[in-house]
Amino acid sequence: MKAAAVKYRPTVFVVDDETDIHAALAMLIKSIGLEVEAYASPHAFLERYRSERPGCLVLDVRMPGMSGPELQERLSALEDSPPIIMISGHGEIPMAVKALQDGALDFLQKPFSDQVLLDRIQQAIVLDAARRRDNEERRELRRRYHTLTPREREVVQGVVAGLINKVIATQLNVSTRTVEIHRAHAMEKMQAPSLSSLVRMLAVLNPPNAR
Amino acid sequence: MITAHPSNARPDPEHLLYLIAEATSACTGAEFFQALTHQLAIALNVRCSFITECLQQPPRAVRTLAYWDHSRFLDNVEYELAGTPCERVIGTGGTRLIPRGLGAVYPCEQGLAESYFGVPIFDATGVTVIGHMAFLDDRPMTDDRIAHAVFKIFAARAGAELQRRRVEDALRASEEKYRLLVEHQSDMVVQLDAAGRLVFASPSFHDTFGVTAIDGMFIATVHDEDRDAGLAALQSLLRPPHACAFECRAHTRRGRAWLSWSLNAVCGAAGTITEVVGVGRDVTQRRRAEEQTRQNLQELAHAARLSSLGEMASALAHELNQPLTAILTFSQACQRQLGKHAENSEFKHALERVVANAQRAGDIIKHMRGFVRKTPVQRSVADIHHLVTAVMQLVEPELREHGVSIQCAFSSSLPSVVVDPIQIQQVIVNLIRNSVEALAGNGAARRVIHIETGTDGAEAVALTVRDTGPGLAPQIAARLFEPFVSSKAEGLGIGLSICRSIIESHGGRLDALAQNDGAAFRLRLPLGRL
Repeated sequence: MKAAAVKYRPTVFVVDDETDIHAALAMLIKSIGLEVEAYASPHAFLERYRSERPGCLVLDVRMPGMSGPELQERLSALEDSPPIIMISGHGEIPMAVKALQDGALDFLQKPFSDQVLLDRIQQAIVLDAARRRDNEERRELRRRYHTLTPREREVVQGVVAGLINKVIATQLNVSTRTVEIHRAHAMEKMQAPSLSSLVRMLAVLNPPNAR
Repeated sequence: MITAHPSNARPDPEHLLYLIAEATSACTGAEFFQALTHQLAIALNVRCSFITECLQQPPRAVRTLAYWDHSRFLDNVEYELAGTPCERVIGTGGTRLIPRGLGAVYPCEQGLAESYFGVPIFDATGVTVIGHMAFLDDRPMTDDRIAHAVFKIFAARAGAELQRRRVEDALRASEEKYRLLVEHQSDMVVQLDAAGRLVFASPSFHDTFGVTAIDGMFIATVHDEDRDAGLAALQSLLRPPHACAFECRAHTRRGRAWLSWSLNAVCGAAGTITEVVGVGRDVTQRRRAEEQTRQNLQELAHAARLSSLGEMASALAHELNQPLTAILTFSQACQRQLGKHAENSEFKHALERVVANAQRAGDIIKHMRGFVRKTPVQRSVADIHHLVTAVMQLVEPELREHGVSIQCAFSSSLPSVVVDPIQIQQVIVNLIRNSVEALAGNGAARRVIHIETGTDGAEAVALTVRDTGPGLAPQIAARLFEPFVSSKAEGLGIGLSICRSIIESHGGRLDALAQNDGAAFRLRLPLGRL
């Protein structure tokens, strides 16, 4: 997690088929000291992009080959998908609503104010960093959770559900003492200093097949 | 000559002819036959004399036209020829004289007369017997060959009269027929004199205008606004072909109406107009329907203009926005770069103006797009089939002109859609017109446009317009719906892009379908709610 953050500086990816527009955007974004990579098509972008690279994406809506929303859909499959700021000459309301519902950070109609765009980019980078942290934490917690034995997971689920040890023991048909031992092991493996932090971890993790 | 009294001095035949001719020359019709019958009876000094006409061909019975007996006229009678001396006269076409003993030859005449003389009457061809003259007396009659010629002259005269009467009867019957036609038809019939005065007008004319006197000028029935056209039409009657037709408004008893007149001038021997005969018809209903159609077309055209404007503004806005965005963004980037070097105040100021002006240009474009998008959209529940049917009426003239027919395959149960009917009609008109143009330019023998409807899933209806034209060129097909792309030399390339934006504004889709031959477009509209 920390290694990834050190490895890359946040980059603003710009995808617009108008070369003058992506050149202008690149110059504008560079002027506030951010890294920029500009691409003339979604395909060119996808060839170079790696999801572990932090930053955000400034994306034109209408482009030949693959449209902005189509690229947005492709990226949404990735766990660390970049926040997207859509830009379009066709400020069609339904398209904007759709893009925002599908997770775009904002939708700007060309021509836009430089300040609004740069503000959105800054917010997007902060958001991306937070998301990556969360994702990394979730990945770490998942890794820890996978070290739990099936019995330990059952005990943890009972604890998180608010049941006292005795009830859990009865449900699992074991002694209260055995439950206490499983619980102590689980907290140790999860590196949870307290019960409340264990509950929070499980909420973040929300493992899909946990019972 | 035949006389009943051979002892009497024989009358001079020429004098006799003269006398009879004088007595009958002034008369026609029934009067003529009576005068001839009477004069011949006197001249021949016989008791009974009559003239008949045949009732059918070949004749089996005759009817008397005048019947003189015992010094007076009797009522006309019809009788069967069979068994009478007249039978042979009419049957053979020759004169027949039975000087005496009539009852012995013809038992049915027993006791009625002693002698008989019959002369056939021929038509103008001299071949067909159309009647006869007969004379009867209680005394014997004698023959005189010269007199036969005299009788033939009278028979010819009677024949001419009979024919004249028959023509007259036919004419009268025909006039009666025309009178009935004129009086009972809804079309108006008028007769004008050379000056354009109404001489005759049919009851339907009176019924229309509510006047009984016909001494007015025909042109007075034409509404002021159409009077010049009416006068021009009447003037044209002076020139060959002496016929004209025009439509005009008129104040009728039932209110304002559209009338269609067709006038023909009747020219005299000298080529001058003697009268004008005209037929008029109330075409108000038709004119109203035409007016309605014209209005619909205007509405469509208006909507098309608005849409074109909107589409052009939208396309223009997009095209201008791209360079404008580049200008603005570059300028703003420059401003930020310059911000680090405060001494370039003149540059800074210039850049500020560039940015401000680019922003202003952007605002103008935004305003323009907002303005054209304000065109009110009126949605209502509509049946796609009704829309297609209405459109087919609108494009009917174009279809006819290019010999294109439309075959519809309508789904039997198609749900209603909520749309702006005018806009959707406009799209359908556009698709049909494209097909008509494709078919007309193709010189195809089979010029058919297929229109199919159906449902598309549970939530949408679909309409497909398919033609058998040359289809879409690949380089056009890919950019079909982009504004300013057209396959037509004179095309603006706005049509299909407007169509798509209309359908998309209804939440639907418009696509070109891949086809082996011809072009096909499919529009899909969601059912939607009001």
